[in-house]
Amino acid sequence: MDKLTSTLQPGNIYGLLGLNGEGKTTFLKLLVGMLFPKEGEILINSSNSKDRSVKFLSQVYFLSDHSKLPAIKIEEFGKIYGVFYKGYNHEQYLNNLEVFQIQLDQHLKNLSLGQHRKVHIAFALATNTPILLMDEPTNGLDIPSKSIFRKLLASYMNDDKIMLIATHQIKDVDKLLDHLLIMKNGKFVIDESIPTLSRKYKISNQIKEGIPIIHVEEDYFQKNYLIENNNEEETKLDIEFLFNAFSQNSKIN
Amino acid sequence: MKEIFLFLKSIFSTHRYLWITIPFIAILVWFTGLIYSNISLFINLNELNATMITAERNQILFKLANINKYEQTSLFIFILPLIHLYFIKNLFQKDYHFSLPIPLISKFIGYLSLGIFIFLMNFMIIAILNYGLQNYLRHNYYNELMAAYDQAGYLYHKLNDYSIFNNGQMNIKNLKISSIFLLLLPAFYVMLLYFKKYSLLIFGIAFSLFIPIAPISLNNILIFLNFDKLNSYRISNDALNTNFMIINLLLTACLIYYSFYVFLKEKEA
Repeated sequence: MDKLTSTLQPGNIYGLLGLNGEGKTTFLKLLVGMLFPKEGEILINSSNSKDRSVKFLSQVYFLSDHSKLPAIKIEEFGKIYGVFYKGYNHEQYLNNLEVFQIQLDQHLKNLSLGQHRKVHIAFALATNTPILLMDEPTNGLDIPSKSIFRKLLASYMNDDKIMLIATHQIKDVDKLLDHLLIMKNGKFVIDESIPTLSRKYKISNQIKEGIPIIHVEEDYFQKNYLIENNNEEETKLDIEFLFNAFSQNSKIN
Repeated sequence: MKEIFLFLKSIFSTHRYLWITIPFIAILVWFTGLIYSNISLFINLNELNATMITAERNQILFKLANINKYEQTSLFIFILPLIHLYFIKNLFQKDYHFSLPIPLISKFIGYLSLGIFIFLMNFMIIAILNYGLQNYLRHNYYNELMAAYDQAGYLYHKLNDYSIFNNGQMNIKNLKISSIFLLLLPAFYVMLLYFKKYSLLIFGIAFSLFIPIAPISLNNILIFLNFDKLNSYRISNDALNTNFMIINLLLTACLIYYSFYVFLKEKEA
């Protein structure tokens, strides 16, 4: 990563996209203070990540891409680790688990990887930290659980919170996103809100001659083009298409 | 203080096996070590059970009384806690534990308290076993042994200090040297934080190199810093030598504890 600069605003769900090895997980670990930047700084409300102060750490929760939780009872996990977060709500934790259809009396060591994921998501949301960082949150979730996850996420979102989701499964969360960050070659090639992007670009299967084509993809039926949107009206954007355009186009660095 | 307690609670709750493995491994290693290092004890006890002839029994009892105390327990009180601590090193990598919002000093004290707790628990079990062995031998054979000495003409005979019949004294010796663990503990944590793989092995090598090198190098440092008036090579005064050793140890302790604090602060996951 090099000279990566962005400001995340409360009230937004950010999507962090990038090809394998672009540094999405590293970026999230830098944000939570698990890694330190070699140059520059990461500030959350003026607290520096390098200090790993209580003020800093109590504002952010990191849901890593694997949820191997300790071998204790599900409810106990919430009680033991929840006490460290002042916004933690145990009732919410239990409610989230119920929504995910996880039985409370179970032991974590008897759960599958997907069920561990659900417990971890339930806990992460119940910490009520102003910033929630999620690395591939839908990994291991079955299809109905992905829908539950989206509903839960939407219900926890408010004007004071920032959620950042790094994912390859963009279809799982694309309807939730307010803002898109696309990483390429250690930089953000896209750092824009979805409405702004939909005013800037549009996807079309027909183009007039002379219009510059940013990206073209061919499916079974037709060719689709990403072009600049000149009429400033918001258009329906396919984020996956947009990601392909910006991550695979060698002209964009 | 509350944060330290909660931090320790989180570790013990997620590592409940420690309540079983600490006593289990201590008992297992203690018995295994006793069999390997004092096989003659078992041979003599076996022979005693096999004969009722007084003259033969007396000879076996004399051999029994000459068996040394179980000295290896001094090693067990240091090594076994480090093995238990080795298996909690995954905590340094777990994101839900690593990023807990508690002050660094609480984490620092928490980890040290965890090590001391494991040390004390292991020490207690080894101590009970040491006393248990002494009590077993004294309860079953002490009077007979004293009678055997009488019969052999050794009046008013007293058992040697080194005898396994005085094995409980090992606990006093172990207690006296147990403060060394306070030096080992932060150094071991530094190794756990620095080396993800083979940290136990590296610690063993580093520590065995440190033992011969440290006194020489620290002597030279103190001479360089004009502490040579306290130099043990030049002044043969016991009090000054003791002071010098204390300064040596305190300096070493401060360096090791500070290293652990810095590593805990700077460690990346």
